[in-house]
Amino acid sequence: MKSIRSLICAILLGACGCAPALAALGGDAASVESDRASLKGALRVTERVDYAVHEIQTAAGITVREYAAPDGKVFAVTWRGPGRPDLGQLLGKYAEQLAQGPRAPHYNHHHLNIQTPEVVVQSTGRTRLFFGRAWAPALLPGNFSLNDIN
Amino acid sequence: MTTALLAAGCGGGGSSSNSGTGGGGGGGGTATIATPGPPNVESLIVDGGPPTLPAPSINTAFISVQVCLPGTTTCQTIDHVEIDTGSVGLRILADATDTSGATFSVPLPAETADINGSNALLAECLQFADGASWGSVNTADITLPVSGEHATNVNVQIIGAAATGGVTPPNGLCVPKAPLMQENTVATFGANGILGVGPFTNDCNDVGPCSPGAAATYYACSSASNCTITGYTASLAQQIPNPVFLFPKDNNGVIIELPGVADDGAASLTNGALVFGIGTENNNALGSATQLLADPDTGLISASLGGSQYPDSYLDSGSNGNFYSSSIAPCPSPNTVWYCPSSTVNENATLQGTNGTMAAAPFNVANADTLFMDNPAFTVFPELAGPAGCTAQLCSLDLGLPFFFGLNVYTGIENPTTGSAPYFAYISN
Repeated sequence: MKSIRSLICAILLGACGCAPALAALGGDAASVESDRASLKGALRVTERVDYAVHEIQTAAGITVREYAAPDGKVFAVTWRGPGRPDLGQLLGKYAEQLAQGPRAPHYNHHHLNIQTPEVVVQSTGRTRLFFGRAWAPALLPGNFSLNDIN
Repeated sequence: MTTALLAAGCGGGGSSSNSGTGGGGGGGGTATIATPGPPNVESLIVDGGPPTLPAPSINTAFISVQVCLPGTTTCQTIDHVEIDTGSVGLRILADATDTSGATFSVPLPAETADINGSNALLAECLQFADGASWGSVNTADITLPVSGEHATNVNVQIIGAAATGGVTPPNGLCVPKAPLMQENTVATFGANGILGVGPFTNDCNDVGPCSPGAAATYYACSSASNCTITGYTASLAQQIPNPVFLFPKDNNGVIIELPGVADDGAASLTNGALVFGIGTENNNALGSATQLLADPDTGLISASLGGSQYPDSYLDSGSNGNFYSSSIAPCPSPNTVWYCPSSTVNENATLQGTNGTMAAAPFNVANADTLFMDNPAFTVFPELAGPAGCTAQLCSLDLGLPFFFGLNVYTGIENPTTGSAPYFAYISN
């Protein structure tokens, strides 16, 4: 069972040599829930009718929210803060998929918007504030509205 | 080299003015563009970027910057340095070329950090929304060649510098994975460099040291292959500053002045101006511009459009479109970063500063795929817009370079000493 520290480390710093995070998009949020106590408030879980929101905040002030279906699978993630998390870790296998596709230069430093049938990634940011969201359309629970990704 | 620059920048006498039929899209509007030259007006262009780019840049404004070994005349003038009001600091790509085509090679001294009694090289990983850039922190004398504005011993970032690991940073630091891009070369960055002009004084923290973990994270490197994994807490003086804030006089902001553009765009713009200072010379008064104060921590203002609220909004010359959440259809893949309405949409946003002051912000959104197909060689598109995610955590209207065409846009730099807030301003009808 991975400690929550290694989870945050892996997602948000990306280079600390920790094992890959379990609660990536499409992954299982169960390990996040079970380590909640050791975080001393840095992790907060909100239960909603059809899903749960696991909120993690880092020392740098970045807030990451993971939306988990009743079976524990993470179907959406959002972030907001003075920097952005390591999307490669946060997007899990979807990042690997996106790496396979053609990589043309982008030349837009403040916006990224990717839409494939498997994953949507919207990343925005400039000095002092970054935010974004990503979700896997196939994993969205029934009756779930994108407006609820907040 | 200098003569060619002056000829390109100062063609024609007097200032040029543009009047149009008004309305949105930046194509109309009346704006008097200052004449490039001393003491404070730099020549500003919009074109496809350095000729070596694999694909042209669009809606990106550039100037040239002279970079010198401090205290000497060992200098190079680098063209196609992007002007970005959404970032802070001067950054040059290690593989940039100067105006004569020579690779950048001024041996700028490294900024160092004392780690356990020995000097380590300071490096920085700068995050962008779409990737990250890694490079060394060095000191330079900076001169803007047309205006003559200058600052000495300024910390700058040399992206992809060999001294701190080159194009591929050591230890896997600052190597973003897909869908993000590593942007450590001219070809992946899209310019020879970038001059971030606001609205903050440092790229990480205006009033104190920089804690690792945010978008601007510093590292100490004992050698090119050995940088501290957990980041380094850079002092106020070690960070990358806003060079404008260090100019002797015209140092409290910038005005971006670009001509109006026809709805379907233009091949390029060569007669724009970047004016330094607000209210410091006879060519940069606020005049009747509406001043919108921004949040001092985030630099944000609020906006409303069509009954929707966008509480986290801003004006950003480094955005190559207007970005906001809308029901307009995005273009089919691979252009999903843009909107493709079936016919042009006329938007009328209202911006509001933290002081309650309001300004109208009209703009048009045309079908991006049609714009690109009709004029594949154009690099200027006033009616480009695209989606930005909107959540309860954050919802923004980002008015990018399209909003600046035909409109003189002021960006006021926050002053940590006087406590004055950052702001945007423009003449709104």
